[in-house]
Amino acid sequence: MLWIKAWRETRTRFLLIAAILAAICAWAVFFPQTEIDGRHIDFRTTVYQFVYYGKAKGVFGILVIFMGTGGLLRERSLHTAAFTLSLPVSRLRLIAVPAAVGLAELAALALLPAMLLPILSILVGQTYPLSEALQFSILWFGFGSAIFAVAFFFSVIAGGEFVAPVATYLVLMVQGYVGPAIGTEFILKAMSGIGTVYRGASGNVAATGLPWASLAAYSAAVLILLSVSGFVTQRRDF
Amino acid sequence: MLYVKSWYESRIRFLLSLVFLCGISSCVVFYFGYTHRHEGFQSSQSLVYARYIWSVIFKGGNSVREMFVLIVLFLGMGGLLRERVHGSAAFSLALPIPRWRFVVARGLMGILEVSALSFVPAITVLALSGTIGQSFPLTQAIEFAILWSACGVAFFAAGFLCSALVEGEYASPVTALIALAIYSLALNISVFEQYPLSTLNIHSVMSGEGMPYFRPEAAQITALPWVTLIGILGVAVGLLALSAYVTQRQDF
Repeated sequence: MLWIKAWRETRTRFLLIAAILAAICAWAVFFPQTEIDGRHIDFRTTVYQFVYYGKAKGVFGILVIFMGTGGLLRERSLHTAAFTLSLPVSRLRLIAVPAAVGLAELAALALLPAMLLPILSILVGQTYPLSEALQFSILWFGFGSAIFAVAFFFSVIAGGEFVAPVATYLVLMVQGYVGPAIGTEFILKAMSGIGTVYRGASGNVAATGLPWASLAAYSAAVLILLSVSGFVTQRRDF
Repeated sequence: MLYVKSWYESRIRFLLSLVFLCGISSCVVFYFGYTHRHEGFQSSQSLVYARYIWSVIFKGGNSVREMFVLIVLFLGMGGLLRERVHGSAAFSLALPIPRWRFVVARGLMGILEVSALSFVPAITVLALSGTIGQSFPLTQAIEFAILWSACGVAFFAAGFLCSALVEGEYASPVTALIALAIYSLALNISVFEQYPLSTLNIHSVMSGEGMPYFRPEAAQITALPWVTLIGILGVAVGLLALSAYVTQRQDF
């Protein structure tokens, strides 16, 4: 039942984001840009530029923030927290289930371009490699889950409706400035995979493969943030 | 009273945004000072600094300007539809005030907040440039702030309309952001190239990029496009009026 509750609370956001991602993927395939700065580019590059480097990645990175918001504090301001808390389940489960549903939705959104691009490409007589698209999905999910976890954490500690998304966005932007200075890449840039799973338009970047170390570090950070969120919720007085 | 209510509802978002814009603009200025501290004074350095400030703050592409646009969309959220979810709409509607006055109060408060925020990066740059031995022209800062103010009001009005139309937890900000993405995508459609696209592209109006009133080599605005700005403000007023119309007809 908690799973259905979590799904119903987030499905509008999820479906809206899925719709815009699908629309951008379709746009990239059916109306491909043929040149950049006067230089001819192939189909694979145009898809990369539009989906994995540009618009779709930006939309995904920003809107993922809203997948992590919600929780019991929001329910308190909506006067439904008492009903939820009266259910015969532990608070840990009340936190774990929305987190799991959110991560599952995130995985679905990250996989959406990988499912759409190879199929849509066939319709226009082109090909887009599934293996490359799946690698980007791993990047989107791995780094996107960090954004999700920060939003989730803020929605557990801050009650205001817009405080969590605004604070998460601010953290994301600050990370963009501070991260490179301390040796970590801007999370939205890491999601584009240039130099890791993509070699650049003219193959001038040596691809090193998926950044497993970074992904593992971010996954650990996600687990810590979600655990802290659970701990805070257990100790909070509603 | 309605103005105080509108202020109370949006002040946390506004103050957070103010602190953030001020902080990020300060970082941009000090970063330039940090990276250039070992270089001697060069005659062209003020031009380099002006171009740097324009490209990182005023231009676009992961710049402060894009953050400002997103912040402004958030400021547009709220209204009676949101109050219904919180169970307080009945109290607001019981006040002996027509519905359009709620919209006007929120709209005016939002416009004031957007205008104040649009001046934050410009004032921060002006105030801090001296501390790193640089200067940024006062007139340029004010002109960019005016551009941001007018265009910011249009984005605010779009967010405002979304919050009047769409109900549901976080559905209205998501819709507003999707509308912004669609708008930005539509500007790239080649079909529109035959039309005066520059007047449709509010992003370019804000940054001056590719505009006849902007000199990219000096990163300088030569004259403010008053007709375009009035047109954009007209669109913003139209969106706010549409929000009032929608709110008047809604059943609470």
